[in-house]
Amino acid sequence: MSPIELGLAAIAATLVLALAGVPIGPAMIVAACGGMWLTVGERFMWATLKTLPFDFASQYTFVVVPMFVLMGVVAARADIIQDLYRAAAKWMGGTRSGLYVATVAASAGFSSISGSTVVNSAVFGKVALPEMLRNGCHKGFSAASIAAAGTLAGLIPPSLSFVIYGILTGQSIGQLFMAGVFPGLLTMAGYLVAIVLVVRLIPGYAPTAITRYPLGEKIRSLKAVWPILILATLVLGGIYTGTMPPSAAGAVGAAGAIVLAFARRSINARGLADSFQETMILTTTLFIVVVGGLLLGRFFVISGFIREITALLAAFDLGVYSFLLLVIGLYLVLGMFVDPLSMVVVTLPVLYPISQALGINPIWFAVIIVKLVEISAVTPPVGLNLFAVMAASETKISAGEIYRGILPLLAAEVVILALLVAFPAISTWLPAMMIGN
Amino acid sequence: MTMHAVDTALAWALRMSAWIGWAALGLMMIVGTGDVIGTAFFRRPILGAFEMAGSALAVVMFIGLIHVQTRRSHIVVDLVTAGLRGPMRRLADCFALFGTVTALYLIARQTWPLMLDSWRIREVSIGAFNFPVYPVKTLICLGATIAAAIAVVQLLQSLVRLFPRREGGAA
Repeated sequence: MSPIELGLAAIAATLVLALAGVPIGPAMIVAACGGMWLTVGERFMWATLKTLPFDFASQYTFVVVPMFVLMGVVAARADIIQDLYRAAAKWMGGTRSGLYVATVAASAGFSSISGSTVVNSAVFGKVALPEMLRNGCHKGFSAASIAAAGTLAGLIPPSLSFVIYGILTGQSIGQLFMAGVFPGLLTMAGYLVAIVLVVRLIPGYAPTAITRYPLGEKIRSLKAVWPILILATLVLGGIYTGTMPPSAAGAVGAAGAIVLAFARRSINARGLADSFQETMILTTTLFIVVVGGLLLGRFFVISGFIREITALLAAFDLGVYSFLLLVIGLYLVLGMFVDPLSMVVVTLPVLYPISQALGINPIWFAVIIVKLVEISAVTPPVGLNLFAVMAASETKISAGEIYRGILPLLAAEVVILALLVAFPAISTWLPAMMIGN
Repeated sequence: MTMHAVDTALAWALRMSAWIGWAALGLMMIVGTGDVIGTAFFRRPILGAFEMAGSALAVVMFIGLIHVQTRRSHIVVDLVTAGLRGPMRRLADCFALFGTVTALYLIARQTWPLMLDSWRIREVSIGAFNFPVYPVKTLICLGATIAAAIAVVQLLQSLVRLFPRREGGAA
């Protein structure tokens, strides 16, 4: 078999196993090991299995994953989101599109201390959706706004998507975090514009009741928000100024979130233990998928698949934008059916080396990939965030309602993606400005 | 060994491994925070902080496998299997567990030489503060092996469900 055939066979084996119900991590491990056994032999396979999982699992750089997960989990348990949402609703809820805007803004705020888009969507599905529906907002559009706003956690640091990209490609996680700031803010602005336009064009989407609060009450609501601001500033400021590596910033953030939660008396020892347990399970779930991706990536390299496929694309004289267009098409189609993490881990070991051969800035490429991943999280029929909101809400929301509601926000996503592709500086400027870069 | 004994052993393993995992997470957080505070305010970083946090991370990831496998909370692409019902569903479940057992066996098998080599040379961490690494590798081996064993038990249970005993059949 030629290297290209070997690589394609490994991808096909992974997909067949995954579609037959084998979890994606084990599916990749089995496919990669089978490939190594057949191409370079049993000894190489065992040697790789002895070293790779432990070497990956014991790297200090990846301490960032459980620490930021813990920070987000504790913050979600400690009712911090309720306060954040109440403050945003009081300040912004006084207009026709106000509650939708408040949801997006509060979700963006929470994204600065939580890196998981699914957690964001699920928690806001519990907190914001009942409030929106009580005020007569449109059911499907409310749920869709929450799901879309959840994706901000994928771009605004600390983002788990960027951490996974960093692990798989060896890029600086600190720089990747900073690269997500402006695209995250741009995405938020895009959602807000889309929401205001939709509510103006379709009056039925506007809430039936609009509550306006006096200035005093608005200012009082900010009292509950300042700890989040301090925590986010400490963590992101530490990374930006180079005072703390991302892993240490994560540890400080997690410790800060726990101190904050105990100070507010919104968590007890049992809640803390549950947070630790949730963090451990989420970290390990990611670990097994990433180990699978790394093993598959190693197989692609040793089988010569990467070298051959890059040469093949070079022979086609594929330019940067043609390649990006292919990647966008691939992710948009895959994203409709495959969950985001699996999609990245399976495709990145192939796409990243090609992008480097074409001279694409790795930070810019990271932002485009993460943006595509986040779009896939809200793309029907398999939109992870859409399901998270549907599952978390106590109100029955049909898939049809939420699918219709997400369409205007997907249109906004296409414009935002086009801007990110057209203007790489949106992604690359801030990392280039990092102190100590 | 009766099923009751298996359940008791599993419950004990889950409880112990949870405590070990939480302790490792706590250690990571305390060492990381302490190192930042020590460096920023006292110009005294914690010796071996990176190595300790890295070792704790490995413990969390491998010990966590026990809990992920027990709950079967792996990421699954259930595009095809979600629509299956009855025997086909049970068959797909068996296949999924067979794939998981294979992957966990591959990982777990190689944690044994990793642990034994470490014990043989009484491995310590490299750096300014040398702490023993072999206990860490022992926990890693235990985590991966117990997770693989749990997957095997789940596969056997799944096989039993695949061929349900008919009521009124031979005892």
